[in-house]
Amino acid sequence: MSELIGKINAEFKYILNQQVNIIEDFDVATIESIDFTPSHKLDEDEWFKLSNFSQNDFYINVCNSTYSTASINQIDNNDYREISAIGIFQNGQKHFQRITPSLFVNRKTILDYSGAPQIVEHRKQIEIKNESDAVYIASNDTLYFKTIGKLKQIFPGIEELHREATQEEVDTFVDNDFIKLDGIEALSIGVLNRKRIADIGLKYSNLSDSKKNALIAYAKEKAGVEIEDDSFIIKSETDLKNVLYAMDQRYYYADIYEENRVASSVRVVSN
Amino acid sequence: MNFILRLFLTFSAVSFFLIVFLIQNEINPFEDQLGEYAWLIYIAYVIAPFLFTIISLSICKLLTPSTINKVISLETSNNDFLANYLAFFFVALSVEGLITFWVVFGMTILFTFVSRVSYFNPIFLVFGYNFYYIHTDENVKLMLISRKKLKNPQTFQSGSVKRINDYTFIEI
Repeated sequence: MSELIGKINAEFKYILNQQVNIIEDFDVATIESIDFTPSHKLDEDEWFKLSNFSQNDFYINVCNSTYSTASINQIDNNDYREISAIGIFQNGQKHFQRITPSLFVNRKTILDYSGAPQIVEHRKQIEIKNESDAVYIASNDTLYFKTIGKLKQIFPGIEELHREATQEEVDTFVDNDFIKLDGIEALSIGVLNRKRIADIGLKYSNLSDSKKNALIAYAKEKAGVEIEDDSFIIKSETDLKNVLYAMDQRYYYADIYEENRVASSVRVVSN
Repeated sequence: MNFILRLFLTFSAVSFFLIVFLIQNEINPFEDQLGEYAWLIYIAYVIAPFLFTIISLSICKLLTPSTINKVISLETSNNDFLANYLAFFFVALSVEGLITFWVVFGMTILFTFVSRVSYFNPIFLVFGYNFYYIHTDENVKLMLISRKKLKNPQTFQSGSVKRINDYTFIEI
């Protein structure tokens, strides 16, 4: 039996159930799962995973295998307009999908040619995607997902895993001797670079002094950003990104192909 | 659909009120036709609530199901309700006049309907159903109507239940 629930404001409400599956089961065997790493960009067949998910603060009791849908209220027709996410429980899997305005299908006239041709009026419908934004499997206590940004409505607090640097952290970072802003303000640094500062800036600050020096020397050689008085002259977001990439040691030389390269996606592998 | 269904459940739950009144006042529209068999009508009156209940139980099968997977506490509530129900009888016996009766009966239906936890129908007991208050694992208190003899939360078997309203469920 599959069950469908919806999240309205902070509350989950019961929608329906049916004997057959609502969407296709998530097949762990056909995907590659990677421990969540903000600096990694997923390929199509890759999913991030969070193991021991129930240990996290942002775990929700809806994921409990003992969760009873009798505990929540039945949804009211007026609630659908405010639905922000849905949950689908089937075969021991808990699927979650973020509902955005684009998934509402209001008043569409469709020619259905699956049998004898007929005109179908679609009114007040919500599209359920084939691929869920997150899937929790209780048997191995693991959450699978692709984009963390879509999950903050469903698991409040999960966005902390890939947070933006606070203004204070940005200020501390740009105050480093090797950074000189020219034409951009610390206040106006964009979201993506803030996320990189949160991630790479933290890694840098945990290094020993000698490693820091070695890293900056490496960055100056590789980043391709103008240097003046021993400091990077940051004139744009791109300059800042290049410096951050260099501080993450993403520039390398592929000796057999004889190419200088930059890695736009990195993760730690163990072998 | 759900509205009519709940109204019918409420009606069958308080139908004894109507029956007691009809018998008490010896209201018998077919007295002349039936002659010495007029008492048959009173038997029909008594059987009627049982029929309503059988119909409401079959309607319950059409309700949307939900699941209860774990309960942390469980107590029977048959006795609490029976006391309330007996009060209906005494009120019905003491009502005088048709207008008073319909007003009181109408109000009883209205309040039973909106109070939402009062789908208690003693005839369910006759058919072997019991009334329980349970707390689910999410610590939500619900009324569960079930034929099972439930005693121990640990041995509670998870299963599908029908939603009469957000607080009342029936295992059928």
